[in-house]
Amino acid sequence: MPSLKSLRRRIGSVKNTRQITRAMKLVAAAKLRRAQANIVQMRPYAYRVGDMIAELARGQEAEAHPLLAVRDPKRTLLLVLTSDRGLAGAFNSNVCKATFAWVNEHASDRDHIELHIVGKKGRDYFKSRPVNVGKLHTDVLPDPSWDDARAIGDELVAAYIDSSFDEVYVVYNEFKSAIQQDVKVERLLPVYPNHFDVDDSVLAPPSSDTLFEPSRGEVLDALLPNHVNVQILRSLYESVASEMGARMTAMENATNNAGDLIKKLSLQYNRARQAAITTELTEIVAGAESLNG
Amino acid sequence: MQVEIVTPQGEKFSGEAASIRASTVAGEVGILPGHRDMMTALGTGPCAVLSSTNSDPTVFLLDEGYLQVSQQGAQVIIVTELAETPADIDVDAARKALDAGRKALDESKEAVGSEAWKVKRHVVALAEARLAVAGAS
Repeated sequence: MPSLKSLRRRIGSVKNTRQITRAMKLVAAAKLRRAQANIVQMRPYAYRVGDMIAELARGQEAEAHPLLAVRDPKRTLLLVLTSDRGLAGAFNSNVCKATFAWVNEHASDRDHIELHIVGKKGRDYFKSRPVNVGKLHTDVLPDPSWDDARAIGDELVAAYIDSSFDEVYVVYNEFKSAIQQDVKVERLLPVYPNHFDVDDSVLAPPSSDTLFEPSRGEVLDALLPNHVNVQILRSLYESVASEMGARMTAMENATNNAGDLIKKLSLQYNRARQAAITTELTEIVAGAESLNG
Repeated sequence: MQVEIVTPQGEKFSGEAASIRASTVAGEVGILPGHRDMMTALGTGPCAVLSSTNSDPTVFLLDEGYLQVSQQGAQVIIVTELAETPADIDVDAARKALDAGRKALDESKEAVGSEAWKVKRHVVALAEARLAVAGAS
């Protein structure tokens, strides 16, 4: 049986840990609320851009724009969204494992697969694995902004246009709830013209005499990269919300476990204390008896 | 007509309007209810929304965006990366940006009209437009 002193010390240390995990849970909950607000805030913009592209692409050939044209996929780029910090349950390992599985599955029919990684945890995971890691985006987290998404988007679009890559995907944790995040692999480029996030209730009826200034092609030219940026920012927001949700749940569990452990240790401590007192009493009584005898 | 101005940071304006003036890449446009359906790219500049009840227009600074007139001129949607009201604008910062931008443009060695030149020109245009919208030019 461990000594009273060591038990006391352990209880103290577990209590400290519980305090930290509880604080982390609260911080994650506050950040999660903000991340969810970001997702909601950008929704109207995403819908409107989608509507406009749907209107522009209506009646157009799929090959009308280089960002819409599907090429034979030989060179693929994956944008992997992880986090900078750990202690978020299976958040990072889920997205990294899914990416690694995707690479292994598709490596045979592609010449080259390259990863661009957001977040330090992804970098650490792929350091020791046989994959091509291209760029690391380390300055995006913890607060992704429109400018960050635009910088990444411009780079990906440029790489796609000059045929460095034939397709671009984003791999991220989609936020379902604080206890559920699903890993998604979504194609960013070429753009699926039929997969816009179109809100049917606001979509205007088709009009053939819409005026385009300067021209249909030029407006599409500018809007399609914009759509890619919107997708990237949305995935970044989803990923941040998922991270905070996962951390909140993980820290909640850790706090509960610490509580259980403290209960168990306190019981042990009290038993040991009781045993010590009983032993002492027995010794005193025995001593007194021997004197009387 | 119904007007909406949306940015990635959320909806900036939504409501009824009697007319709207905006700066497109090809110059200024004025839109009244019943305008022909149109889609156009916006440049850097002010956008004034005039309501039917209030004589003072609501002014925004827009930087690169798209304007769509739909439903036979009953709905105007503007999507833009940046929509600032005069209250959002930091006049001193804009002045500094304007001076620095003009200097950079004067000293630039790039050919007029090149991509790098356009970036510098845009900094000046944005600062000028900010000051104009804030009423401090």
